Amino acid sequence: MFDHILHIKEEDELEQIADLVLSNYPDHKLILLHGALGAGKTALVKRFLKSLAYDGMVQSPTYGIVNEYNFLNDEVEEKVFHIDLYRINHVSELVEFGFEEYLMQDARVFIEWPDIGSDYYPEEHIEIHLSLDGDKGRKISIKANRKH
Amino acid sequence: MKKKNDIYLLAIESSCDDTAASIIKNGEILSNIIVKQDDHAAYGGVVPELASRVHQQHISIAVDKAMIEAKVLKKQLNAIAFTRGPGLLGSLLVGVNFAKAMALALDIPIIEVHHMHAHILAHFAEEPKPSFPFICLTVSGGHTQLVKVISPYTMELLGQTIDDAAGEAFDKTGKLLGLPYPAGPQIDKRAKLGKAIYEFPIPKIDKLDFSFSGLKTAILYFVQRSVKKDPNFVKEHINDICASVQNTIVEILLLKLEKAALQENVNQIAIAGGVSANSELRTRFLELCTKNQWTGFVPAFQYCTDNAAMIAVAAHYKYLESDFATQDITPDPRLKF
Repeated sequence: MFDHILHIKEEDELEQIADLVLSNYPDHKLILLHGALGAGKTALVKRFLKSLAYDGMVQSPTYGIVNEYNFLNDEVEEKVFHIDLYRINHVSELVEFGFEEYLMQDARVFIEWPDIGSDYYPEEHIEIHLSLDGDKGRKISIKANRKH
Repeated sequence: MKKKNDIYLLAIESSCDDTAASIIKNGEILSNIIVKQDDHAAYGGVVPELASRVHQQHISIAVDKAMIEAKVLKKQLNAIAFTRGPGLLGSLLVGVNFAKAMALALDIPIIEVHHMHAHILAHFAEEPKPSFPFICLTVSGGHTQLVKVISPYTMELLGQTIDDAAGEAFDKTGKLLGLPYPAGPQIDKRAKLGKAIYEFPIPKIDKLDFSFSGLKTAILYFVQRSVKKDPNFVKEHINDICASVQNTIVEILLLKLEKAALQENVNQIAIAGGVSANSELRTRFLELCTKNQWTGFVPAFQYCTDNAAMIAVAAHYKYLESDFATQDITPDPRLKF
């Protein structure tokens, strides 16, 4: 079911993952990141932002739930939302912080711990699953869901 | 009786989970009320939506208690202060709107306060107070910052976390070890019974910034490796693991604090924020101060975690400068430092 399965040894190799997704699926604006604590979800979003030419700081969104980034990529304005649903326990809380509005904007959206929001996602999105692999590495599985 | 020059302020803090209110008179704290949101433990974390609803139920209670304990009447208040950000939008909204409505009814000004500035100014709630300039390491669930404090109004951000906050590192590593929320105090408690015999890597981060996300991964691998050899390993060695995790987090914090103090050539050094309630951080911070002949400042426990007294102190300074906000002000969850 996955379109790509990759194994990486070093954190630096996350860059290849970001580049692979951005070049193969430039129109997939929504990227869902699955994986346990410490699997490297935030680290991967950091690489995505770097590949999109953002050079500032990327902090964990766990406490504030949504981090927003606005910057220029090749003179084109880029808007990115980095969302973390780790602390969301009930679907009703999504409405409270404006989850739907974030998804409806013309922005690239990365969502960690995305399961609780599954009713809201458009058909066209990327799923990335990260897991520990061997002694130091990571296994990264990517699936591109298209419009039916 | 209110003398003509007395300044009475009410301050409200609702940026995260607890609802707090405080009265300050001429810079001296008269009351400091916190209404806790104990429901959270059952959910394994602060529940954002639940937080804002419970704030609505708690805010009148907190304000009433603060007024009664301080023996202050509404008509005596000169202004009302509130936390504008950073924090959770829903939670902030409750405090901001309450302050605006009450001030409108009493026809007095409002004062907006930055939550992180207030954590630092908590040092001026009581003696001993640092003199300017001083360096402050502010550590909490959502923030890790090194700040040069030039005056109550001028602060320079020297460094900050590039990923997770120190408090988040405690909470998440605790969760990886199967500890209940909030994991910070749990790790502190268990660490006292154990020895820091396991080594976790100290990240090499540029300048005065911090990184804690690698620690999570290191612990994840450590647990995985150990459990493979002995399924009961974590359970049987939890105290030593906690001591080791805490030792690493404190080490990461103090290495950068020392670097900042030497770089800025400042010898008045402070810690602030919820994580400064951690006993090992307090002890080793004071040892570091002795070693370097710094004067160290550690706030009393009630001024470490989120509280309204610190908002009141910050507001007092702003009142002296007539730095008021207008009624069209809105909360800002990502308020810039």
